[in-house]
Order: sequence, then structure tokens, then C-alpha cells
Amino acid sequence: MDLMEHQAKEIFLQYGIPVPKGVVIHDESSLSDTLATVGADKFGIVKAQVLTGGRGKAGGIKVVDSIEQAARAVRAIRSMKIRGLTVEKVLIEERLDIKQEYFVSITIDPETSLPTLLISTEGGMDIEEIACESPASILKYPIDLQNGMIPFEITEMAKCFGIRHTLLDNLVEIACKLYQIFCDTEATLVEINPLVETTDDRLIAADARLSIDNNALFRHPEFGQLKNESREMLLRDKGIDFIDLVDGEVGLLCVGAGMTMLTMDLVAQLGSKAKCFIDISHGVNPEGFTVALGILSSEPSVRYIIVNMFGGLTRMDEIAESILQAVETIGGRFPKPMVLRLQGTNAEAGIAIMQQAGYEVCTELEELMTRFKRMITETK
Amino acid sequence: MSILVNKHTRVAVAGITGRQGSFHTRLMLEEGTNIVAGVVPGKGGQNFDGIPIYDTMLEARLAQEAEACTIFVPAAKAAQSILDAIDAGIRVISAVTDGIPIHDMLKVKQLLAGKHVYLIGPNTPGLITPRQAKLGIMPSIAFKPGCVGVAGRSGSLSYEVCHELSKANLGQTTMVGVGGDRVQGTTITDLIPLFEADPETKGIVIVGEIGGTDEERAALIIKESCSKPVVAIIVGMSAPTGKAMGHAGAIITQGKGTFASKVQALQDAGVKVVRYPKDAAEALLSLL
Repeated sequence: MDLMEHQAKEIFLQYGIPVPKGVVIHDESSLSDTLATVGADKFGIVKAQVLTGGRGKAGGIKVVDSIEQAARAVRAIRSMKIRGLTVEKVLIEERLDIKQEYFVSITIDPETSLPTLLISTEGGMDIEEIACESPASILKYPIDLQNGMIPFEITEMAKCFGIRHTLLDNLVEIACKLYQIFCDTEATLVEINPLVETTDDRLIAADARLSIDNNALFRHPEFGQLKNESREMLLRDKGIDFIDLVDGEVGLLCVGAGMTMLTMDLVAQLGSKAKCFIDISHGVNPEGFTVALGILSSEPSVRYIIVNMFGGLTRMDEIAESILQAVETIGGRFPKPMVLRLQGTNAEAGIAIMQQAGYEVCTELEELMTRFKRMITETK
Repeated sequence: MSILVNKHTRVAVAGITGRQGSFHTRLMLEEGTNIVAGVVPGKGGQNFDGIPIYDTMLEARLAQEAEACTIFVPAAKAAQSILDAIDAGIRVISAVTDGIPIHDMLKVKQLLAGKHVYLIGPNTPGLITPRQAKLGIMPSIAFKPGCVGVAGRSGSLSYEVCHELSKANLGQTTMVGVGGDRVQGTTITDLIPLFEADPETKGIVIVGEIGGTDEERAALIIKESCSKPVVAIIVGMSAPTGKAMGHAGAIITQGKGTFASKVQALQDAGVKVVRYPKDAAEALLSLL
């Protein structure tokens, strides 16, 4: 589960990592009041709170000099969509006098299965390209689980890396606090980009990212409220992984990420495009299917549905019964033109159930895609 | 022959009395699996369809000489079950459970270091040597005995590929699903030398997908030390980028993990890369 910038910053602050002064608002009506209570002259940046990268490039961050400008910026940002996402909240913060920008992050290196600290002296928007073009410009420190992060080792590495000695203590302390957050919250990612060095030599986390392991949320009641605000997490509780791909016309209902991606590639090969996919591999029930079909029927851009299942753990007779119950709940018919394939565990029973209810079912992938192709040609 | 498991392998099932454990134990038995014990803490002394149940994996090993296991224990306790199996000296651990907290798996990986144990998964369909031993949940209909070694990341996609192979009369020696989690035990890279060493395996199919760097590392091993023909399918070409939040994921892999990077690495190693499951069967037929 990804936290929004302002939520992550609250946690950073609890652990003593400096963040800019700021307030979160939903619209500009409360703007002057809010700014007045904190001191309006300190505020200079308006930032969209959305769970996606590329916010800055999409115009979701604006520098402002007056309350009037701030109000205009809030209105503008609230009405924009960033990678398909509506902006519900904005964060207004003091503007920092920047001397240099750094990048500090802890994530799990899939090659070593170790938490790994990354530091770069070139923080900012294009850090990914820098990492590809000059990997040597990123300090990479694998963290031993038993000993944790060893401050003097980071100091030594950072020093060799050319980080000014007056900053070292401060930087290492922030890195250690980040690791504490990483462990305590069972994060998969904690990141500051940029970590700003101000002209008066302070280090401040100008941005903050924190992703909590979904699988560990059951033992973190402190995130219960945030979880309830997240559409992604509410769906996951019903056994559904929902991924919105922003533009496209096909809704996919599959089991497993690999099969979903294959179906997506096959749809693309036929000149069409997937709009969203729903992976039901975390467990299946009629309620989950009702929600899934509800999403597909309410998305106007979804014109077709492909149901493609090859079940191992997932049993096809249970899938069939769940689909039929869900269809019953949402009004007795499938919301959009649909092709259906059931294969794998208990497939024969599943197919019999669907056929009895009047649905055409196929068992082979090739046939499914042929039917899909026919369906889009006929309706175009 | 096969890799890791065959009809003689003595298998224990952790969580044998649960909803998934009991259902799939019966299917594993149908495949021919030599299941000798169940492990459920608190149910030691009982039995499941005549299979004796023990409280710990160590007891299962001592009493029944269990040497491999399948784990169906719910996510919150699954890491403990894996640790129990490692501690008992189980050689092949197939961890089917989906949703194990990643920080639990970090600890498991630390304890695995230096031990000669194959941990398959977690979040895996498991592994199967068709008609001999199934330590997992894959649908038997997709598999038949033969000469192809299959190493895959995604469960359902591996079924699809094996289904196509089987239809083309290319049965499998063993299919291993390495699982979809970020922290995993055995990798595709680890499996290549096993298939290379197995005399019955004549060709290898890799079922890969975007993300991670396993396919790239496997390509290096194949280039160095694999004499058998290898076909790979990589899905996710049309998946959009930029959905992930942080930069660290992309930075830590330094440009690897993309569709282009995987295809390039595999082709450089002489692997025939195909786009769809059906093509995998055709490509392998032309190489054998």
C-alpha cells in the first residue's frame, strides 16, 4: 500500500526526519484561514497528492508567491487528472532555498534479497535515467539483517562518494531513521527524493514516499484508517487485485499476473488495448465478482470483457458459480459483450455450470482470442 | 529421471487438514506423489486419509523419513512453517502459500544462506514431475511425462505453456514454478544447472515476465554452461511503465527487468525467445 506524500511525511516527522512546514487542504475555500494560522509568507509550493510518479512533469506541482496565486494553483491542480487520477487533496508547503538535491532510499534488492540503502548526490526528477547511464553515481549499501545499518560504514562510503564532511553526520542520521521506519512499518520502499540541502546547511525531506507491504498490514492496525481510504486495498480485501491502465477498451478478468500480462499482450497484438485488469488469484467469492463486474460495467471506456482462467489453486466450478451469482446480483446479465474461457482445476464442472446458464465457454486460449477478434470486428 | 523430486521422494504436507491442504493433498496423491506425513501443530497423532500427522516437521522426518514438503499453511504462519522445514533438514520445500509478509521472507532467506535446500516459492504453484510427484497445486491436465524441463515465474502462465507443450507431444521431465514474490527461494537461474545435469531433459523452456532480473541472470548461466536448447517466453510487453511509485525499484536494477532487457540478454545467450505459449512448443520442436 502506497502512502501519499503528506501521510509519509507525518511518519517521517514522528521519527525526527525534518520535513518542510505545510498543510493539507481539499479546496481553496479554507486557504486564507489555514495560511493565516501558520504564516502565509512561508508558503510557496502547491503539490498534488496523488499515488503516481511523474507528478511534477504533469504540472501537479506549482510554485506560488501570494495567496491569490496559491488559490489559483489549488483550483487548477484540483481540476486536473494526473495519469488518470483525480486530485482530491493538495499539500501547501514552505519553499526551501536549495543548495543541492540528494536522493536517499531503502528498498529490497531482488538479486540479494537484502534491504539496500541507495544514496545519490543527484536527486531530482531524472534519477532513474542517471541510474541507468552512470550506475557508479549511486551509492549502494546492502543492509545485513542481523546487524542492521552500521552508521560508520555509511559514513565511510558516503565520504568516499564525495559527500561533504559537514553533511555526513546529518545524512547518516537520516539514513538510519529511514531504516528504522522501513523495519517498523514493514515497508517495501521508503524514499526521499529530493532530500534538500538548504543554503543555511540543513537537510530537509522535500518529498517522501513510503510503501507498506500489503501482506503485513494485518499486524499493523495503525494503518487501518489509511487502508480504509484506499480503493486498491478495499478491493484486495475482497480478493481482487484491480489495476487501472488508464486508456484502453477491454476489461480483463484473469487468475495470476502472468496470465493477465499474456492476455494483455494478445489483446494488443489484435490492435485493441486493455483498459484495466482484475486478478482474482487471492481467493474467489461471489461478493468479489460482484464488485469486479460492477467496476467493469461502470467504466464507460470498457467496451468488451475477456474472462481468461487457467486455475490451479482456483477451482473453476467455484469460479462459475461465483460469476453466475454476481451476474444475478447486478441485474441478471453480463454488463458488456464478453468472451469466456475456463481451464484447469475442476474445469469440466465449471464449463457445465456456465453452459447450463446459457453461456458459451471455450477451453483453449487460441479459440478465446479468435472469439474476441470476431467480437471486436462485428461491433466495429 | 527428473529434477528435485520423483516417485520415490518421501513428501510431507504442512497444513494437510486445511481447506486447500486437504483438497490438494488428494490431487497430489492422484498424481502418484509418495505422501508419507502431514504436519499440523496441535494435531500430532491424528491422521488424514490414513496419512499420519505430526506436530513438527522434524518429527515427520524422524518418523517417516520425509525429505521434501509442500506448505499450505496460511500466510501469517507460513514463514514459521518454512523455518520448521529448514530446521528439520528437509531438502526440497515447496511453499505454495500466497501473501507471506516480505519482512518474514527476508528472515527466511537469511537462514537459508549457505544451506543446501531448495525452497520453491513462496506464492508458487510448486513443482511437478508428471505422473510421479506433484508438490503443489498445478492442474494435472496441463502436464504429461516427457523430455522438457520447464522453469516458470507465473503459475497460470506456466500451466498454459505446459498445456501447449503437452498438446504438441512435448511432455515434461519436471516443471518448477519459482513463484511471484519479490523475495523468493530458488530462482530460474538456480534451476538451469539442474536441468543441464538431468540426462532425460532434452530441452528447457523458461516462462518469464517483466520485472526482476532472474531471466537476465539465467541468460548468463545458459551462455556459460548450458548445452541444451532453450526457449523462453516473456510476457508483459504491452504493460505500461510508470505504475510503480518509487524510483528505487528501477534504480536498483539499473535498467534491467524490462521486456527489452530480458529479450536482449536471452537472445545473446542463444535462447530462442517467443511471444506466445503456442510458439514455445513450435520453437522447441524445431530445435530438438
